[in-house]
Amino acid sequence: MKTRIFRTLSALFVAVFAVALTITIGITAFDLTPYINDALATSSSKIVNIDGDADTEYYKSSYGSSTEMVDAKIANIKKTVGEGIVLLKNEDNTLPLSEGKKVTLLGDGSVNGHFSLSSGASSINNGKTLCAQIPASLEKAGLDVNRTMVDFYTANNVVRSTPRNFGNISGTMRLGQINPSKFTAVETDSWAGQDTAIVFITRDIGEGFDYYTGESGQITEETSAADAGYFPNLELTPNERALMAEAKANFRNIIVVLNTDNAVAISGMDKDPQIKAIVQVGGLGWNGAEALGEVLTGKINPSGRLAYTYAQNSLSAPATQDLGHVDFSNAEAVKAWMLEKTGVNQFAQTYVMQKESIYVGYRYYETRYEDYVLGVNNASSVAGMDEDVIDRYDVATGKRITPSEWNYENSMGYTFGYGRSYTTFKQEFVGNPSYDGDGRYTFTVKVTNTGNVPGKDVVQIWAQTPYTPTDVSRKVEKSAIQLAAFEKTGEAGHMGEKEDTVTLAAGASEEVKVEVDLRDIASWDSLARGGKGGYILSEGTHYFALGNGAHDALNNVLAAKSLSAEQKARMTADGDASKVWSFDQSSRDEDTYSVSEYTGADIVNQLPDLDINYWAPGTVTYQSRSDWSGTFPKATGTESNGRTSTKLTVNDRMRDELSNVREVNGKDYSNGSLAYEATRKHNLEANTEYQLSMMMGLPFDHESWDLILDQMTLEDLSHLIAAANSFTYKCDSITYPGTVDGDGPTGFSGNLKYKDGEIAARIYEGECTLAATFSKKCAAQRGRFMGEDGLYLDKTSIWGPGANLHRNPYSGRSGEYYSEDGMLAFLLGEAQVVPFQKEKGCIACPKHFAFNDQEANRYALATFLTEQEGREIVLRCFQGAFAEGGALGTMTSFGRVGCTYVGAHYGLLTAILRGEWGFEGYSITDMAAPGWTYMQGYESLLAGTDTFDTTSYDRFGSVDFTPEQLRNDPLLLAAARQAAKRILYANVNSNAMNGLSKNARIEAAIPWWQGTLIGICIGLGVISAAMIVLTVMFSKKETY
Amino acid sequence: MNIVEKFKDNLISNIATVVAAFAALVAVITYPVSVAGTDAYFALITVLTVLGLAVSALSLFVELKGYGPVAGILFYGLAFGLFLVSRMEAFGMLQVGIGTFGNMGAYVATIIFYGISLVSCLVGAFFAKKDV
Repeated sequence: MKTRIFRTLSALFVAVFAVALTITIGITAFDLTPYINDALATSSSKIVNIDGDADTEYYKSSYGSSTEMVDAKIANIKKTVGEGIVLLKNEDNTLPLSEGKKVTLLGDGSVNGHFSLSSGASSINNGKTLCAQIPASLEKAGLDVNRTMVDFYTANNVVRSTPRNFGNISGTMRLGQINPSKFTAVETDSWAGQDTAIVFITRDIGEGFDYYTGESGQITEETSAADAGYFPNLELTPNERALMAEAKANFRNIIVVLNTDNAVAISGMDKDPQIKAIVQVGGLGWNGAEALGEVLTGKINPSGRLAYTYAQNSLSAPATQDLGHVDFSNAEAVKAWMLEKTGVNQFAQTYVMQKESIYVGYRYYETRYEDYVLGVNNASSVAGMDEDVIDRYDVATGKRITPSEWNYENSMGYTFGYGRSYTTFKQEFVGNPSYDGDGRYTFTVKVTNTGNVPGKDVVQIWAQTPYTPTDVSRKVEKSAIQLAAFEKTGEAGHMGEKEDTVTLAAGASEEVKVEVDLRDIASWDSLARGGKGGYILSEGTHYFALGNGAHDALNNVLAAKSLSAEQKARMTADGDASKVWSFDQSSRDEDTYSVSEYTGADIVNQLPDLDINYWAPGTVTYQSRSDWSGTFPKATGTESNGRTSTKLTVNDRMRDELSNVREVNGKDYSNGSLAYEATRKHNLEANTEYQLSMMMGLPFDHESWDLILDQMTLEDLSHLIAAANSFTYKCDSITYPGTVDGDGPTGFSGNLKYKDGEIAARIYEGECTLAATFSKKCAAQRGRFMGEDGLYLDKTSIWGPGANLHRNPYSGRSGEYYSEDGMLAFLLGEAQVVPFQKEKGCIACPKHFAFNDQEANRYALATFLTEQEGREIVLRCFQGAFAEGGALGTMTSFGRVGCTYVGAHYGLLTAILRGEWGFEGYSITDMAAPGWTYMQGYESLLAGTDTFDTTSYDRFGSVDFTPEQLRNDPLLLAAARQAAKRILYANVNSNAMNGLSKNARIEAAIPWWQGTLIGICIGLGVISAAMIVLTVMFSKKETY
Repeated sequence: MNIVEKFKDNLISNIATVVAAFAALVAVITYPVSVAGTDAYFALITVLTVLGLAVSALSLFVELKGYGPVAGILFYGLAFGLFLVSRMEAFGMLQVGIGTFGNMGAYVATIIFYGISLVSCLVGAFFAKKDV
């Protein structure tokens, strides 16, 4: 019997030993140690300083503990949301509500707000329940909230879907909102005697999918089979329309809260007399709901401005005509060809055709408005308003509206840059602007609070550049109005970390200085300078106008022009010519602004292959203001919006490039400096004793970098560049401690703890909410607190801020991106990045660089647009963070520049990012499984990618990154050394060096969990052996 | 003694061994389903499981002095541990919002069948007769 017992125990211990041993070895063998260290806040190395008492804390927290910091951070989130709430409508001074006012909250969003938590990059367990809730926040602000309705919505627990369509249309799309027919007498009796309802229209954000424009086949929980076939998710749903009707039938005053980062259709709410007030707020973050309560009660005077346009109809813009899922007509044939030719599927099936040119968001509506007023360019044609393009519903009746012509009021709800206050302000130019002789004007604007309560105002300087016959012939498009610069009152002289900004008292004035750089309003002309391309200023009058939003500014510009009475009659408002300053450009200037102010580089065409006509001439006519009706986009694929047109066919040239393999497309990815480096003989694995810390503070082009790179072992070199999945590799050969990095735009995501024990999960407001502040101070403070997070979490790089474009309202991830306007993103990106890096030592990695402006099919999506849109609209969103803010990292996008994978596009990653903008940091791919092949590792490394957000040190896609491969391939070695230098340069100037003195050594250390695992294995091994021995011993004595 | 007699003579242990082998066989089939295809660990896990199967089969025919289940459980345990650690990487990928975990039902099934295999080996070890 003893034998049986011991043999069974032997088997038991052997089994546990085998499992434990495999896990222990597997964790090391499969490079899982960094993840576990990250989760448990442990390290596999320790720093041994031999420099005495030298202060090695190069970047310090401004707070005594994380608890103290978190208190300040939370206060800042609330303050930022308070400044980012936009008051759009306020008839009869309905807002602010008085203390103790009884209100009824309608809509599931009242108990299930949009906090910016729905994206994969900002996920925190139970985040929605942790954040400040709307009903309690409104009560805290002094309102008497009808709790019966709160209980009703809570009990019904409506689950609202995040974006998840285009290619994933099965199942029911739940946009929330219980039909009011479900209200019983308990609910309807609860609001007896009340006159005010607050109706919440809410949409969440989500990663990987976009909202749905209405392709046939989608069912929502609330649509009948009859109307399920066409249902744009950003129109008011049938239940939302029913709820609005119920509210209007029972309440005298309706206040609408648009709690969304995706512009839902205004659908006449702006003109509805019973809807007295409309308030817009994006992702609320940790405690933004409290700010909402304080805005509704007047404790905070709203000063936000719209960061994107709210149209009457969500589908009326040119950029909504082509989006979502469209595959090439011969996708399957191309796929088969690639499998045969390259052995792998290169994901080359889908594309998006951005035919809108520069007319994104307000640029479309306002430019067409000016042409409508002037009576030119077919602006009044019905193109863009016909039933083929949009369905318009009357908000009250739900009946379809079919206009006979295009006009501004039928199209626009609230334009970009617009926002109201509980007070009034007067803005006026103080004299003419000063000029620095190098393209920069500084305007002085006097802002006077002419109302009765203190508040803040935003000074917006808008520009109009002339649209000339030469522009028309060269297909250079000009927006009738564009944001040139802005400043917020009360911020000048108060940009420091712990200085509060000031409000402008009633009756008080402030002079605000705003700098406008002509480089920022110059237009891209691909045919300039004999076909080299460049930024141009056309001959003619250039206008600069003040305005509360794009439309107000444009009306001011129009007022400064000599219009006929008939033209003036078509204006929506008279405008104010005194708010306009202009200068005349005598001749077309193609040279001045075609030189990089950052590097001195000649700025030439770098993205001609963005244009489908480069690959297949004559395929597409892009939107042009020269003919609104003739060029208004039609969809390029049957799947998009359910409308039909011809799908794009891949020709042989495109197919070769889509393969992204040098042997197939014949491209020479090497450039001059790499080719030279490849011919140099390097002193590889030099037996020297330099340490990376000696490079702290030294410039990027310092000659000593060669010594560091020479000293690196090839294993360290290959590991550093091959995989950086939320960390960079610890290189002992140069005493580089490695880093732990993380996602994303709304703060380091995950259920993290600060190193002194405090739980870190306090989500920031949505980035789009930040953008609506129009406040550089708010952006800088957010940068500082995210940097504080990095210091207390021991994290260095963050994959953010998000700087992609709100190309149209339907992007599922818009809440993580600033705006539809490049200059707003430019200036806020700069403001956010500078303190994040320079004060706190973290590394900003603006993402997703670039052209990831829709989520649907984001993997390998072929993106086609004009270089003008690329440079002026899309890339402008990133430029401030890189060129002005000095961001030292970037995460590239999944998609393609035309047919070329972004990470392998030399023009984008090297010529523009580094050559024109002076970027000296490192570029990492978006997250990729090691087996993915369309992100060709070799070509990407040569083109400007520096490392890969993946998990395998040996291989990415079909490329080996082994020491042997580096030793045997001079070009790959040169590219790897270049990449390593960029990674190390960024990190040696970061908080990663905290604790590391000039002569420090890094020694290996076994973290407690690894020691425990090893101990368990040893223990189990010994016990197993003992059991086997005992079994053998008893076996000899017993028979059984 | 022929094979049938050998099997009958050590019936419980041999049935447990067969069950262990069968469960391991099912586990190595559900494994690729749980990861939506094969991955880098597939070959090693399969080899370890097949070695376990070989030991189990051997113990039915050859005199192993009752140590067959102990040897079998070693290989099944190594395969199971490797399976668990391989999916940790998948969890890591999911944590950053990308990648496909595969079929969760198959994942759970793989754990259950490896578990059955290990428990069966324990049963086999307890009831094994040394002189058969």
